[in-house]
Amino acid sequence: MTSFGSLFKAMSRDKFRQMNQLLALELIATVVTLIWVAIKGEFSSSTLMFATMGWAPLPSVVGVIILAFGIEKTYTADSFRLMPVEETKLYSTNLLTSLVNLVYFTIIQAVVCSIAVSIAFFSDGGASMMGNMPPARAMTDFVGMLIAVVVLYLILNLLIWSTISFVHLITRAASSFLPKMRQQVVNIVIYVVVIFLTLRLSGFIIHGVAWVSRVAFSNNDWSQIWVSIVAMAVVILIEGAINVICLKKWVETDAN
Amino acid sequence: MTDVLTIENLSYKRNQKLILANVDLTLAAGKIVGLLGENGAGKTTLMRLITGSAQGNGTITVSGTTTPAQRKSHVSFSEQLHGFSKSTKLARVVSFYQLVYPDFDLKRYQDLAAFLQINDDLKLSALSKGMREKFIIALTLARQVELYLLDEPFSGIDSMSRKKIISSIIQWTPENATLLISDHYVTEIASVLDEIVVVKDQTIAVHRGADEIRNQTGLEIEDYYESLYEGGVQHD
Repeated sequence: MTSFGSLFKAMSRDKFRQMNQLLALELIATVVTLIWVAIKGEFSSSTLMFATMGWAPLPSVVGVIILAFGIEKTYTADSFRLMPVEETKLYSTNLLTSLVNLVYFTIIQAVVCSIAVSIAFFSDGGASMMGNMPPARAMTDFVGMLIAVVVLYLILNLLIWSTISFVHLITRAASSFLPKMRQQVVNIVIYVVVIFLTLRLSGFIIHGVAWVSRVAFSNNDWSQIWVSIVAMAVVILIEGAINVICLKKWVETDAN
Repeated sequence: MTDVLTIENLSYKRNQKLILANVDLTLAAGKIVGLLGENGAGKTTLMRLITGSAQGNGTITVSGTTTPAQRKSHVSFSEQLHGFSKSTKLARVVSFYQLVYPDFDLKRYQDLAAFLQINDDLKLSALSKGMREKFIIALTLARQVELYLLDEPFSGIDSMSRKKIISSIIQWTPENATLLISDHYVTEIASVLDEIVVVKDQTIAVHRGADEIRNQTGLEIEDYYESLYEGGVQHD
């Protein structure tokens, strides 16, 4: 049987390469932006900050999508499904490697953005801004908020991937025992349900972001966010259990 | 002689269509077995059921193990590498195999690759059909397992490549391992087969020794196989 370490490495390699390619593209976009701004004669100490922070969200979204594709390919390709491992181990390692690579990607982005912000901060009125630094208690609240936001970000991505897998695997499972005609009907029903769920999820996220902003600006209790995180974790576990059952019993690989 | 594969009462349906029914098959260790049948007879499906890539009803035992995850440790299947992007270099695929299959023998792969003239620096997209098939054979046979499943290794490739692949099969299949080769052309492989298994009418129609067929019917394997479809020979 394949060990966890080997499985982790094998499933991580492509994802790591993809994340690095994405970072390289982001870097190129940032450099091109800086050159363009310099040519226009509008370069300042904060240009780097705006360029890095302006480009950061797009690769983040693309990264989540690329990783989602990788996750789903694993379940239908013999190259992965023939590995001598239990489905539970395959499923959890697949999600874990995606999460680890997303964290790596995000850390690199965060470091680059921090450097850019620091340059802008210290070269353009940083000393005067230091005078307006919040008191120590507020900093403690900030750390608590930061931890909550990071965990929320991770759990939200896990929820997105696990929901995509849930829909994908349910659809594949249906195809194993329904006639072609009914299979199409079931797929349409599933897609409608998924669109509905996506809209609900989007609403939830938008509502969450609005709520987070409200709390951030009104110094309210951050502990409430953990309730949402726990709720999402429960959904991930339930979806995960169903996904693994689908993999074990019905989901086949694409034929040779 | 011990049995490497035992299939009992296996049935498989897809989209409410019965593909295999009441399949019973036992293969002893150390044999080269031809899995024959028309296109769409269910040869690939049977192999996929053995590996656990498809799920049917019935019992499949490979080297004493029954769960799909355990069976996969004892079976090497000629999968078509669809999990890798076309830009993946062969060396990267080899490295993946080395990582995930503890039984993958790199030295054995290198010997096979040298024999089949495979260049590991190439990308998957750069391989011709014949070269890709050779690469798949090399990966499959480089694992040290009890049961090898080669799914139509000769389809669409030239005669020189076919000869090379057959030579590699003869040379590199371990003595005590069993090799199941599916094909619908019998001529190329008839000379190396110890037994044939014919999938017909959704089940195993024939499972006989190659020499037994030659001695008892006076027919060559190819003629015997064709006669099954002409109604000239009553199968078991």
